[in-house]
Order: sequence, then C-alpha cells, then structure tokens
Amino acid sequence: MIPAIAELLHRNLVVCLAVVVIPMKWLIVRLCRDKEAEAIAVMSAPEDLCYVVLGLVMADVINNSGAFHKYFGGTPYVSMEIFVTVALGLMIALSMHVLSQYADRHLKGWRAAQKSLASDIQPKSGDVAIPNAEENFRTLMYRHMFLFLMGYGLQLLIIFPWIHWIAKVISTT
Amino acid sequence: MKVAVEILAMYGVYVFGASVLIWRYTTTNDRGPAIVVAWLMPALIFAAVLQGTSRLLFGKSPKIRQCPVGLAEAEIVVEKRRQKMFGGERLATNFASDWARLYGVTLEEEAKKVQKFARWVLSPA
Repeated sequence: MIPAIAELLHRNLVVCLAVVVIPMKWLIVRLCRDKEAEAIAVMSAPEDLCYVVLGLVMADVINNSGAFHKYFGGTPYVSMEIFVTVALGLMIALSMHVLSQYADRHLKGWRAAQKSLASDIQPKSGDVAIPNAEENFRTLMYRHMFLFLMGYGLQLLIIFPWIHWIAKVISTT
Repeated sequence: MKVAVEILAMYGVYVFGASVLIWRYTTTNDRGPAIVVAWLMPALIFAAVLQGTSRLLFGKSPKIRQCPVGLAEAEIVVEKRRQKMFGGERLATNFASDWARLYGVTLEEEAKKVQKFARWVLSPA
C-alpha cells in the first residue's frame, strides 16, 4: 500500500503538490488553533500552488541544461520560448490573485450573512424588523457561498492544467 | 490514466477546501445540504452552461421569479456587518436591485407577448 502511494506521488507531481501543500498547510494552522487563518490557508492554496510551480520553472530555467532548455531545444527561439513560459506563469499568477480577491469578497459576505442569520441583535419580527429576515439572510448566505465556491473552483481549474504541463516538461525531458 | 488521476486530485482539493470552509463557518442546520451542493457544484455549473447555451440557441428566456420582499434591506444589513467584521470600505449592494430589474424586464416582455396575442385575437379577420 505505502509503496504504491509513494510511487503515485513520485510519478504525479500535480497530485503530490496538491496532497502535500494543502492539507499540510491546513493541519498546521489547525494545530495552532487559529480559526481566522484557516480560511486564508485553504483559500490561498491555489495561489500557493501557482507560486510553487513558478519557483520550479525559475529554478529550472537558470540552468542551461535544464528541462525547459531541452524541451524547447529543437527550435531556434529557445530564449524567447522560455521568456513566454515565464510570462505565462506570471499572467496565471495575476489571474489567480484576481480570482482570489473575488472569492475572498464572497467568503466575507457569506460569513457576514451567516452571522446575521445567527445573531439575535437584529430584530426578526415586529415593526422595525426586515420582512422575511431569516429567509433573506439565508438566500444571501447561499449566494455568497456558491459564488465563493465558483471562484475557488475556477482557480483550481486554471492552475491544474498549468501544473500538469510544467510537470510533464520537467518529468519527461 | 494519469490525466484521470489529476482530475480526481483537482476535484479532491476542491472538495477538501469547500468542505473544510463550510464545516468551519456554517451552522449545524445548513452544514449538510451546503456540503452536498458544494460537492455537486461542478456538475451543476456544467448543467447551467448547457442550459444557458440551449436557451441562447433556441431563443428561450429564463423564468425569473419575483424578488423576495426585504432582500434589499437584508443585503444592506449583511454589508454593514461585513464591514464591521472585516473592515474595508462599504461596497455597493446591487443583488436585490438587479433581481427586481430583471423581473421587471421579464414582466415587460410577457406583457408585450400578451398585447401582441390580444391584438391578433381582436383584429378583424
């Protein structure tokens, strides 16, 4: 069992990064009992993966006999192709950050709606109460929650093919 | 095989992240349904894209139900609480107003259809 898992992780850089980085980060924050940081740790995981991959690319590119030099070796524009790869990595990092901001805004909205739903300070009945307060707070909570999940899922959808390609270049050349 | 493992890993990361956050920041009553829907989200988004495309292709407009009473006020309360909890500037709330506007557009379109039908029925043969 253990050798099979080790072999799977060794062969699949994508799986290895996802399995190691995200649960490990969450576990460490959880052990420190930092509830606020838990959300940040889980939410920033795709962005972290993006920088881990960018680090792998940079580390490989500075070496003249590295995987990227070999991969693009067949063409006369090696330097330009490596430049495009790094630029693409930076663009992906930028898009990750924009999506992360979007997800963060909705995570905060979700938590505020959840707090409003659970709170007794806001009158839920009487003249000053908001009509259908509970139903409306729940609608807003689910709206923010699903928009957050959409942003988070989209981040993973962008980062995984990128890691897949980088892993393929590094492992096959 | 490798691609399948990677897709599963991506889905696993998504499920882990979504479940942890929902479990941590949602009350007991909403936790179960929210986690199940979150797991199904990729399939739901795929179905929504398919439905949207078919609506565009066949020219069918979606049915929009009326905006719930008090949603705009609830939105302001939530935004105020968000500002109190996390700081930052107050953001413009437009979900309820957009919903009401879209509902208005739907009503207008339906009214036009009814008007057209009435003209056709009442027109002299």
